[in-house]
Amino acid sequence: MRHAVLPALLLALLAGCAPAPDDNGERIVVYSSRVEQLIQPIFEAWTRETGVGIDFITADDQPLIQRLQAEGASSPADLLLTVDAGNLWNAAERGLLRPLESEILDSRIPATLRDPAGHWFGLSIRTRTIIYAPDRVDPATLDSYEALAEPQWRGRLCLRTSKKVYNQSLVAMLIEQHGEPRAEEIVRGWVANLATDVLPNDNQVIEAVAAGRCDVGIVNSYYFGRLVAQRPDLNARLFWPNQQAADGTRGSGVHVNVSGAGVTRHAPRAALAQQFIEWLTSPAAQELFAGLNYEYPVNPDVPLDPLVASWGTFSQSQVNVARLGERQAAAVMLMDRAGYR
Amino acid sequence: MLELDEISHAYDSASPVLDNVGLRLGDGEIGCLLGPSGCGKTTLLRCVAGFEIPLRGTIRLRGSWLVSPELFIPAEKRRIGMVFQDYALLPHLSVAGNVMFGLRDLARSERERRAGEMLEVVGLSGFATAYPHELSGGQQQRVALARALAPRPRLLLMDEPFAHLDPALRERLFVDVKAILHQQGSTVLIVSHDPREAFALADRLGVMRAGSLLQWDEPYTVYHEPTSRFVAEFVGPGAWLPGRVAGDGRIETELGMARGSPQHPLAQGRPVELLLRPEDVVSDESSPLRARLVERVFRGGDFLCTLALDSGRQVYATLSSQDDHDAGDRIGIRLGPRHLVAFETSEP
Amino acid sequence: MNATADALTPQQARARRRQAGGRGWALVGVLLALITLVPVFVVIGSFFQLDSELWGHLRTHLLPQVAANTLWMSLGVVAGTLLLGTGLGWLVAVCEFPLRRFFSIALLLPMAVPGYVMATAMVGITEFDGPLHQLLRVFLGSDARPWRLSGLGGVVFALTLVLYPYVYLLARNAFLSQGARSLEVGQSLGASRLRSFFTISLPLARPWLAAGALLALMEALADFGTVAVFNYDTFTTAIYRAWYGMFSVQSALQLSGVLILAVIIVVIAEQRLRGSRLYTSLQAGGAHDPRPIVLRGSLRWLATLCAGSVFMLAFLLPAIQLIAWAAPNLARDFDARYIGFARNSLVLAAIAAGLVTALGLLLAYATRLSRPAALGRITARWATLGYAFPGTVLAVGVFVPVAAAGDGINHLLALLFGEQAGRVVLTGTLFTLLLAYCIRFLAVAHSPLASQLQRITQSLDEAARGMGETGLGLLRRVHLPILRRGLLTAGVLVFVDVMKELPVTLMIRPFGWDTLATRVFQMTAEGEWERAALPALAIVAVGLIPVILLLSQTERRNA
Repeated sequence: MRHAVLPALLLALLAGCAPAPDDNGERIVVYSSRVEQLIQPIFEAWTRETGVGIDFITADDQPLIQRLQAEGASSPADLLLTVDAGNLWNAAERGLLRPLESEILDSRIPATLRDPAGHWFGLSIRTRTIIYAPDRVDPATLDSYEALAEPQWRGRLCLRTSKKVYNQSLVAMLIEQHGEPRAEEIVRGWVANLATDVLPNDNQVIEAVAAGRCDVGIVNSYYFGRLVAQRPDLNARLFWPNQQAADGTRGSGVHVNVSGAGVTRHAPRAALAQQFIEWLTSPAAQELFAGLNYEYPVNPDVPLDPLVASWGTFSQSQVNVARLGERQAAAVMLMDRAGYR
Repeated sequence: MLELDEISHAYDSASPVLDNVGLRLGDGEIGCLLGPSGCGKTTLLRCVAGFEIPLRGTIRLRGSWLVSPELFIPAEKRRIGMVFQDYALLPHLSVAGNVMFGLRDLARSERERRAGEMLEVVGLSGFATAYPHELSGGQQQRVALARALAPRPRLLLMDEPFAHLDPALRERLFVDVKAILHQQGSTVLIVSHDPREAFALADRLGVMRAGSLLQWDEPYTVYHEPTSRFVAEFVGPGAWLPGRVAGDGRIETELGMARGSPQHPLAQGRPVELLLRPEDVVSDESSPLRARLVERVFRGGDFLCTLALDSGRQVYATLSSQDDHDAGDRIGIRLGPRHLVAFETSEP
Repeated sequence: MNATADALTPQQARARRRQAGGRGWALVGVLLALITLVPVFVVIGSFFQLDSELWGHLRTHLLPQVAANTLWMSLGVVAGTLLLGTGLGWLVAVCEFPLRRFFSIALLLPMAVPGYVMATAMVGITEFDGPLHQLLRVFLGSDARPWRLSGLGGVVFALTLVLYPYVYLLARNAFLSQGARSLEVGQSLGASRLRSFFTISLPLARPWLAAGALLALMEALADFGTVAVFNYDTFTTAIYRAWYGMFSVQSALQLSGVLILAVIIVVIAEQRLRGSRLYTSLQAGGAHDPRPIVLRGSLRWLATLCAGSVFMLAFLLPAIQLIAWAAPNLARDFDARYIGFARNSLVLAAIAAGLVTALGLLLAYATRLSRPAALGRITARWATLGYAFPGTVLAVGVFVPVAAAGDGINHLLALLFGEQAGRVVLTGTLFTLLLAYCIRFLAVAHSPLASQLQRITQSLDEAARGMGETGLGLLRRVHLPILRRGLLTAGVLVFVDVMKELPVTLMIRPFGWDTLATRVFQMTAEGEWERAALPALAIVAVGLIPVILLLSQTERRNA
């Protein structure tokens, strides 16, 4: 009995749940590592405006990319959406994305925030910056990421674990700017200055600074935004590093990464997918996209969320975010060598 | 001496399992508790073993208290051995490992010597390294016996020790086991539902029903002088025949006058029922009394025959296997009891 | 032909039939093993693309540390789960104490709590401004030394609390069928209850305990979430570092291969140590089934206290912490979609539980009946390796071959019928997801079934045959009733495991199949732990209902 039921059940499932739904209206399919609550409102807005529906699944970047690759030409996906440039770079490297030619995108997105070859485009900026406790740190003593490696911060620094891609791309930027030997020196300096073992996430770094376990840390600004929105009296402030070089010229700028997207190589509805990306860079969509998570829009013409605007302006790193992906593996190895867990 | 007094026990207050049980068992004696299943005999055994705590009553072994109102010695401190109904051999230990299990106080070499000795006693010398599942049922039973005897228990308890064995093997083991137990000088209390097992092994025999110990005596006495109909019926086959007490040691029945020593005084002239065991009815072609042979069951040495009297009542008789009567024949019989087992008709 | 057939004695004929049947079963076993070995083949395939530079780096900078960490974690989790699971299992199965029946079920509940959720709740409780320290400050004054659950201690603590139910469940079953008889044997030979427990009950339960501890070990080895919360680097950390950090999925697969190899060695070592001894239980015979030990005096309350404190630590405290987190976000996050998430979770878990249990049963029989017997043992060992894979790696190991197979089929169809031929899409269907579940959780279903199947002796089979029952009738009327507890155990374990499973579901699920577990991911991926409490609680609640229903039913039958 069992022997007969089993295959029958499998067949029924196979037949019943095959390909993606295809209703009368047009639909595009998005694979996203940006989580649902940060994309769904935007998707809904797009559907309201254009009548084109969106099917999506969310998962970690690498499994999504692996899935895309395995599916090959059969993949239903039109668009890959991630929360960092490294994975987009990796997807492009594997030939999973198709280059786009779009004047709209080129004009709306600064060149450093998109793939030079046009495989993918940044949609919002995620800044990784310094956080400090105002009651124990005079912001005048703060300067740059590099300066946090100096002895004056011994036992005062909190860092998140190097497992997170945000730190990996920060170190990738340091490699890009200073070369590996100097970057390794800086990372070793950080490790030597740690007040406590590395922490599992940015929230804990902010909490540790606020609670006095350490004086400074490095976090993404939107984590700070979320916490401050709940607890306005939080004992922590953001500082924009690397604004001015030692010789008084403009500094290398705040480290930025992007949440971005690219159209897949085998996208069944590539034109529609491109339209969607272009729409995402329009002022209205940008405001929504960035605003959902206290991020910065890539389109410089778009107004900031009031809380985000209150953190002031800053100059950002001019390293193309594609270079961060390229350097990421080297950055991870460097952190391993330097003992940054 | 094992002394049990006024033992009562119940798993729930509604139905007592043991009701005021008392008995004495001398050192070196083999006692046997007989009764139908559910009569409480195993519970009594478990109380002695220390697996059950009786609600009331006292237990003494060789003068020291095991259970009294103030005291309860746990099972492992009683030095009482037990042979379980299913033997409960430890499957993860070898035969020698099983036998040595209770000898932990001895040195290793001493343990091995004792285990070897015990295995020799039970005739399993060659099986020390075997595992229990590799043995036959009879062998397992003897391992269980050796294991229980190895620590030289002050008392050995056996719960239906032969229940799982086939009859032929059983008869032989009765003799073997009794010899081993007497040779070891063990005091033993056995629980059984099989009278043959009990008669073969016991020096003292008790019959239990519904939590009560009805009788506790030598097997011969229990068989021939039962104190209640239940005991009389339980320890062996027999038929009840109505009669009237004609005088001292005489009972008038339809089979004529039965003579013998009664198990208890009977009042002259009272209506009674007389127990006729198969061996009390003797075939005698010269006898004027005739009965019709209804059925005969061959038992090897003899036949167990069911006979119908003229009144229609049936009695049992044993006939020699040389006898060549067939069903339907009318056979001459006479009464030959030396013990009169009779109860007044109104007695229980 | 006839002449040879005539020449066979009935015994020979029977032996022949059995041998032929045995080969059939061996084939079934091998087929099952081949399916479940798909990810292992992918791993083996990955070794053809060895990145020596990356491996050199791993060997120098990462592996020594993570290997040592993994070893300590494994020892800690195995010791912890064995201690808690065996102790509590024995207490509940053999002893009688206040609230025993409640605890007998309640002690299973922590199983429904995903490890990373437990870890997060524990961190929340022991945080500096968390409830524990506030309490400590009340009693010890404000300068009480801050104490924090972290590193190895935290990992072992949290994993032990969520994984001990595996050992507990199997141990309880083993002790239940032993009854108190094993203790009585010991006592009748002068051994105290304590000594009898260690020399008789425990050795007799060994195959069950080993199976439970092995499940816990494999889950711990595959864990990524819990160790990440405590920031403790284990082998999986290295796997994800190679993959996510250095974009080398090949190295991730290779590292998983090393992990699997370690598990194989542990399994073989355990079986070697066990030798050829037989672990059938002592039959508890007849009408006088040994009754549980009724604990008296302070001992009974001590038992209640032990069970109660484990229950509190492993379930109540984390549940309260989750509720405290979830309550403020309830209005914002709780909406009608939760019905859909819960339904998806339930449907997936239920189908997977049925499917995996059936396959587990099939494998258990294949193991038992295979001729040659050694082949059966080997297939069982191989077919249950999926559980030791880190979830995401397993997902890749299933997804990639399935996609390739789909392509192959489509090429074939196109060749046969031209371009107009229909296309088969396997990826992104429930088929692939369920296949991955089967491969991942076969071990979970197989362990309780295989140990229960040992209970069915050859003579029982023959007795039933003698009464005219063969084949399916034998299975239905004799085996299934005896296996009932094993089937329930297997089904419940798989059900709960699928309910809380994340990485496989996340990568392979079709559109619209968001579950409660993927909901947890949506929140945790951006660090919003407190908002993840709501779906986590829902997992626990929804997953528990069927567990309690099923278990209370077995309890009643056993009472």
